[in-house]
Amino acid sequence: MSRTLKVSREFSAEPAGRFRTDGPNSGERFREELLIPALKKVEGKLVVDMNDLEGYGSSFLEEAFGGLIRSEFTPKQLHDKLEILADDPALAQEVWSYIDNNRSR
Amino acid sequence: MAFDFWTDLARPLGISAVVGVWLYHKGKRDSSCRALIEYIDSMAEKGVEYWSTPESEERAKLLASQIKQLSARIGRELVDLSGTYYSFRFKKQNFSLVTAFRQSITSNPFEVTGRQIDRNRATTIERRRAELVRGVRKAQKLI
Repeated sequence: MSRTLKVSREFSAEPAGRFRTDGPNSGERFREELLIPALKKVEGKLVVDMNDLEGYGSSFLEEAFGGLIRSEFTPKQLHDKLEILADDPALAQEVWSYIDNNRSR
Repeated sequence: MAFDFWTDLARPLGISAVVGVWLYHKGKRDSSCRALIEYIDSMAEKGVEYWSTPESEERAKLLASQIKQLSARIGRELVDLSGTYYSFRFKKQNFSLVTAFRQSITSNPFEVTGRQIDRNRATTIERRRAELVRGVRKAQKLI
C-alpha cells in the first residue's frame, strides 16, 4: 500500500536550510526524521507531496533527496519506491536530478 | 443594392467576434508572460542582493524567503500559462531552464550557517535569468 507524505502538513510550512545547524526545518532533518523512516516502512510507493508551499531552496532539496543516495539508497531503489508529487514540473525534475546525478554511491 | 444578411452583417460580425476573442486571449497571455518575466527579474535581483548581503543581517533572511516565494510563483505561472494557452508552448525540456535558474540562486550554501558573501554568483544568475527569459519569449513566440 502506498503512503503520501505531505511536506506542508507533516514537516513544515517553511522548509529552509541544508543541515540541522541551519535551523529546525532543514533538509537533513526532513530526510532523517521523515523521509528515510517512511521509505523503510512503506510497502508500496511513498508519494512525497511537495505542493502548497511557498517555495524550496535547492540546498534543502539537495540535502533531503541527494542525501538519500549518500546514505543508504540507490537511484534504482528510489525510482521504484518514490514518487514526487509537484504541480511545478521543474521542482520534480530538480529533485530527480539530485537523486540521479549523485555519484556518492 | 439589396441588403444581404449573410454578406453584409453576419459574416463581418462573425469575423470580428473571432478576431476579438483571439485578441482578448492574446492580450491576457501576453500580460501573464510579462508578469512571469517580472517575477524572474525580481528573483534574479533579490538573488544578487542575497549573495552580497552578510548572513548575519536580518535582510538576508527576508531575501531568502522572498526568493523562495518568487521561485514558487514562477513555477505556478508557467504551469498556468502552459495549461491555459495553447499558443504558449513552454516545452517540457525547457523546465530545466527553470531548474538551472533556481539553482544559480538557491544552491548550496543558500540558507546555510556560515555562508559567505559570493559576488561572483551575479554573473551566473544573470546568465541563467537571460536563458530562462529567452525560453519564455520563445514559448510566447516573440522570438
